Amino acid sequence: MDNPRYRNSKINSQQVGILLSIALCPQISLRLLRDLSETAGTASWLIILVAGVFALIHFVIMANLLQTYPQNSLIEIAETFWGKFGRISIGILSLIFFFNQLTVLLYALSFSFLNTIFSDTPIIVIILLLLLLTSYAVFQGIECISRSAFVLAPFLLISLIGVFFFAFQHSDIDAITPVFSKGFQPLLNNPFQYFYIFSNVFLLNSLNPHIQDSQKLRRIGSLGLISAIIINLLFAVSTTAVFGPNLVSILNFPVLHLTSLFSFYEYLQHFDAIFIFLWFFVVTISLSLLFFSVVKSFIQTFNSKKHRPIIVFISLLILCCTLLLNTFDADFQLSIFLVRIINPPIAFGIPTLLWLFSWWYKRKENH
Amino acid sequence: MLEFISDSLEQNCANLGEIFGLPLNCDVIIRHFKLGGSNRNACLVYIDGLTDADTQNYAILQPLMLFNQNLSTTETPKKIADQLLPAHQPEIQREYQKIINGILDGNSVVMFDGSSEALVVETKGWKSRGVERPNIEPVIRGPQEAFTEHFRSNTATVRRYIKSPHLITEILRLGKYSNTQTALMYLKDIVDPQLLEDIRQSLENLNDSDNYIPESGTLEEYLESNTYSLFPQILSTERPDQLSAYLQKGYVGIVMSNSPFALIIPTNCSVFIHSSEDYYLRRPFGNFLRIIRIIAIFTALLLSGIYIAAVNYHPEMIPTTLLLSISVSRESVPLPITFELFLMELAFELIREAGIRVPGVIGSTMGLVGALVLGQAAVDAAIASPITIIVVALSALSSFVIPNYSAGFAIRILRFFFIFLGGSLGFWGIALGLLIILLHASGLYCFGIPFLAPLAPYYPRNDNQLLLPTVNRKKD
Repeated sequence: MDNPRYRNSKINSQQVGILLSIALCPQISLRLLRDLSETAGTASWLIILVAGVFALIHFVIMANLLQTYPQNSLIEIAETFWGKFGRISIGILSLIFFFNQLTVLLYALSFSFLNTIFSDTPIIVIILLLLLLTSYAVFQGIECISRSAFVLAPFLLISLIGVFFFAFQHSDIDAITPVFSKGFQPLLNNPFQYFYIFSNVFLLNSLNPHIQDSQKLRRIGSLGLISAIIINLLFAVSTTAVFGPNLVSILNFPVLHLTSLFSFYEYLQHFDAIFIFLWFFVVTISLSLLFFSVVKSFIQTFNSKKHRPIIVFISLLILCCTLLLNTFDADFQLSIFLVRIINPPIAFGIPTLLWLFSWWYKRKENH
Repeated sequence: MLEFISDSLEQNCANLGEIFGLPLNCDVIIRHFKLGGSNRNACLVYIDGLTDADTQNYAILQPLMLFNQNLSTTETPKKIADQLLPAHQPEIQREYQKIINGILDGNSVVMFDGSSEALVVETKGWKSRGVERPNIEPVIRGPQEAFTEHFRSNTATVRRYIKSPHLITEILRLGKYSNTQTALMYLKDIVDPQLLEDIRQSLENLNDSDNYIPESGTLEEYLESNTYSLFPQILSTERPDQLSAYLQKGYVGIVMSNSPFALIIPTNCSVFIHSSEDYYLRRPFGNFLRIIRIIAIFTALLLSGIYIAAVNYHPEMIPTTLLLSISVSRESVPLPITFELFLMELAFELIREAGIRVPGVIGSTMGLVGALVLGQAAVDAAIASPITIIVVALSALSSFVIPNYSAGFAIRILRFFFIFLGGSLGFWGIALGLLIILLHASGLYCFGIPFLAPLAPYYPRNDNQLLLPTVNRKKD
């Protein structure tokens, strides 16, 4: 029957792993692959691999820090080191990170909606709809988001297997064989690209206070991260192998195009409709996680008590900023600046800094 | 209000008369008589219609008036009960409240002059229907008996299934005016004490604030954590075997007087697929039925919405031959597909509701004839296409497969929500709706237990798992 363990409303380690995998996947289905193909051609998947290795190293540092301070976010850890100044400065940086990620992802998702199905609908309607959904998710709480993700995970896995199975029938291995005719220059063009792909690992910052068994964080988190790296890699490999790097670099949403190619005799002619279903779940859960992290960072930074009015306030702010992105720049220049230049130093810098400080602190205490 | 009865019979009768509004109130009877031999004054108080006259005559009046030749005028009610009354459950009471409750429950109260104690004798005997077959949860294989409105008969039926001293039946009363007898049933060795305490607390709080709780349906609404949710957060059943099966897993049951439905707490999403019959069938058959039910849930919920979304927004998904046949069948229909489907679903709901309300055998006949005639007429009049009728019929049939009535209701209502979403946003809308429902269900709790409990948080070795567990057979 009902096990008393159910009563614990915190999120368990399995859910953390799934949340992490889901949060690190939506970028690949939007613009990421196009940008990578533009930069590195056939070696785009190599960038993901290298970025994944960096992210894993960074994750181990972050997990070490969070396990040392279980049930604490980075903002709270900063407060223990540097007091109010630490809380506010790290809090504001976290807020900027999550806000950027959320705004850009929301804009990209809405733009993909416009491109694929609602061509006559104003973007504000789609943004509003998504904001309402994510606000509702945040209103329900992180436990509900994690449970929903857990229920959906098997379906997502089945659909992914389906996509890769179909893709490999159409693939050309030459399209993914890296040719370094210009040396390793394309891979070294923009070092930040290795960091921004998996910068959502920083979400652990806001998840940590809600994790039931913090001791398993490193193992489960690594598994989640590795599965996210594999999924991203497989998407990059299969899409590039099917379309070739040149075509991928001009397609708006290459992965969506990939899924539209598949058919099962004449009974299931467009696999993309089913994929869109599940992709929508993935992106919305990621959006909800980011929204939750924005609210959480805001609450922790400004020591706020009530979170419900903050959800409404932040929704409005996100709406304005997303529309601003739309007005300023149709080609994502601003979003590229936000996501690739500002976010990676925050996501990777703060945990490393805090970890170094905690290490020094411990050393000092031991002496 | 007065607390204890006095030793003056006249005073006690006057007080009871005042409490029950005599002589205006005609169904409360105070029968004065003298004890045989001693000529001591006594009276019998009861409600006409709730008591059994034969029991009163032969187990109370006859022995007290004719057979007590050796008793003195000052004998205590206890001695009278021990020596004279052949009734099986006499209780000695001093408090007015307990005496009044006894009378309201259909017992008879005997008061004696010179004694400040009264005898409450079990004489319940109102007319009630007998045990019948379950109407809402019928099964092919398994016990064919349902709960009735008779409180004690219901608790006794459960006792017949669980012959264990660990089965506890706590009785309490709910509602100031309804004063309904309510039994809290559980197995004391396996129940979660925290859960039990939470339920007790909720019932006590309820008693302070609510006056009329006549039936388990009303109580269910009071106990739910989210009354606006469409999903049932408490399981109700008319089957004693189902209640017993849940009790032996550590659940808590609530049986109420005047209600042929018992409540089972806590409940979770398994109510959508579990039926008591699963346990009476062989495991492969039971599992097959559960898989059929899962398919039926998705069909009932999504088929109409997906049909609209596919035809309106994603026709490329439909095989060409099928798409052509849909186009041909819809050629003469002037209505938009969303409106057409909505109209047919509404017509079906009307037929279903009318079938229930129309008395006797005409109801089911009318439902059948109504569906056939309306469907055929709608196609002939070019209001609906034959494929739409097939979609509506399939969704409706699937909604009947869901074993729990409340859960089926939720699916029926949500179907309209998906018709709207599929019609306005296509597959995006369906995905949006599914996510909203999932998020909503994730946030539901029943006495601290998440609604999605065996799935998320995941607990693999659970009685509520998707498929039936293996039978642990002793090895030779």
